[in-house]
Amino acid sequence: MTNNIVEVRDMTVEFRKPRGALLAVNHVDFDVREGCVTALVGESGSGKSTLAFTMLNIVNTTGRILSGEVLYGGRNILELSTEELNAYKWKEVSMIFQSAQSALNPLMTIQEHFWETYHVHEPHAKEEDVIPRFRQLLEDVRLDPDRVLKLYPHELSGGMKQRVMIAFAMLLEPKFLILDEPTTALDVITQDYIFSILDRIHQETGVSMLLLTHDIGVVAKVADRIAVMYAGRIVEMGDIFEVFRSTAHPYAHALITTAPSLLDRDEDKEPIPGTPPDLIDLPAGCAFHPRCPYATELCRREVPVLRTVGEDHQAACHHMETFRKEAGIHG
Amino acid sequence: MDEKTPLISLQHMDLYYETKRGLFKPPLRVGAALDINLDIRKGEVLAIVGESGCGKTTLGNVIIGMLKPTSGKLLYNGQDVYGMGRAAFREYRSSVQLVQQDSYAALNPVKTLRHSLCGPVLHKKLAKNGAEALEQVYEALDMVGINHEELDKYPHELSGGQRQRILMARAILMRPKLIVADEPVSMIDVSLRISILNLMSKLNKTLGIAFVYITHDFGTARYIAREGSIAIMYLGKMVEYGNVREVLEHPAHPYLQALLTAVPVPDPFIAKRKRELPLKSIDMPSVAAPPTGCRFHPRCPYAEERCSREEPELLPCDNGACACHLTSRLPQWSLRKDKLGR
Repeated sequence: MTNNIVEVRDMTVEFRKPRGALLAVNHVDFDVREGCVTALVGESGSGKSTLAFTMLNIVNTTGRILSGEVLYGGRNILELSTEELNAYKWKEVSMIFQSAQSALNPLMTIQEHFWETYHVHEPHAKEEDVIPRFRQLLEDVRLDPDRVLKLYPHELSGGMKQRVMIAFAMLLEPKFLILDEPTTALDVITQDYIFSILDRIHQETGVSMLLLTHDIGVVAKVADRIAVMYAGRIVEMGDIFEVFRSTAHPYAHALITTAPSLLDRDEDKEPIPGTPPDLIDLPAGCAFHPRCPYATELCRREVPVLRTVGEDHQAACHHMETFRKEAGIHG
Repeated sequence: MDEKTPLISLQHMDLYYETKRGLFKPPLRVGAALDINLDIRKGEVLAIVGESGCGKTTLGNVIIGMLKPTSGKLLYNGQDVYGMGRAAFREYRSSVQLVQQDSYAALNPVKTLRHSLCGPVLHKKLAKNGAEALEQVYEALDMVGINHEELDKYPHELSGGQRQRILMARAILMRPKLIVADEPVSMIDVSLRISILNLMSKLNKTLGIAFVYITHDFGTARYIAREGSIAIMYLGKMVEYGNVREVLEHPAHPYLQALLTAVPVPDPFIAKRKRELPLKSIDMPSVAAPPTGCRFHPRCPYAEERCSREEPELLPCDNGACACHLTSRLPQWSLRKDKLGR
């Protein structure tokens, strides 16, 4: 029996904008399996970062959590006191943000960064006692501790900074790691290297991971499970092989098949028509219906709910049977 | 001028950036693009691919005439761009257009799109009056698939994909022979990328405009330049050149082989196969202090003593051209074999 490390229930997050309320996350139920790498995929504005932020209760101040709970070890994270939440961050769950550049303090050396965080969580520890641990962490990400501990952030390259951030995130041995577009600004060789390091850390420590990205190639390479978000809702999720082999949602299918690949045959790809929806003025019913070739009256009226379509596979589409038949996908 | 003359030709082109280091020190010279020989034929699609800092954007800026080569030649229709008369130079400048990555920064935020699009047409005297200019703008908007009503909007009121289409419209209004597109889709939503790439293909086929597509992404490069050519850059040098399909299927340069190994393909059945990167080191040397000899030799798994001494030239090989001393002796490498194992 597989357990979930985090369970998000009925989560709704709203941002107040001058034009009206923006629903970034819309009644989402989402589980992160223990010991798995789960990828949360969506375009910018699909709500994937906001959903991840709720798991640390760090939604930006203009945003409000309207409903829902985040369960971790049987407790609702959103009800923790500030002290309890601070103890939970880093120790239980840590997050690597999109731009490692701005996550590091330019006036502190790497060693000072490590010590500052460690000291806050372990006030009785002595710095000289934990330096071997800092060194080990840097070695784990293939950085030379003698050199790197003394450096300031600007003396490191982008890939090195991202590796420092990974070492940093593992400092207090969290059980769950959230990675928000960890390699978006990096070159492909560095990206490949970072994922090989993350894979090894995952194998050795068994840490559960949630990877936020829009790059389907990366997802295919590293994830065990995938959840696809569109306009604040999860439209399809499940085992990576299941979802790729028997995709059930037209948007997820388009996202997967329109990503240009090195192994493509030489044929034109059909783009997804239309543009991503305005989150302040969402279409009624299924948010994807204005762009969907299979949409009917039902889609314009009713929001589809997630249905089980396979052993570890759910999708939210009224017409998935028709879609799969026409697209030649076997369920 | 006969039909065979390339539209743009770079001959032994070097471009150095100079950074001041203080009053008494000589300036630091950084070779951003060195000894580039490249022909762009009429109506061709060429993809220039490389990692950050390889000089691909610099090369694009030399082609459009924004940067003057430190040495070597840039020819337009066989004529030296920096030795031609004023009228000819002006014709070259409007015939070669640029579409940039950041579509928001490329448009004036306080002017409507009507202003941004009609202005250049009137300035270049491509239309007699405002009404005629507007007609041309409407035609260009139809071509790129933007509603005429959008013309009175400001850049921030459009989506990234729409703005990128506006930039394409602005470029084709100059009736160019060549458009240099520098990472045009890397800042727009994934679901809209294909439509922008398809638009570029359409402009290439219907208007016969040649495209130089500058990117770090092999997937989109292969898609847009399916029938065209590809140039791979590394630390300011062109290391491989040839037909897209052949170069990507059977890359000759060890650097390109390593890069292609690292590119993830969107299929878990293939992407999860474990493979080692054929590289000795992950870290790219600084372009300001490049290694001696072959610039790739410190990272190359096949490097020999000669590679650290002699710089290889870009020489013809089976699939085009490759700058490697060991081309003929390297083990066979195939993309299909690497990705699919057969």
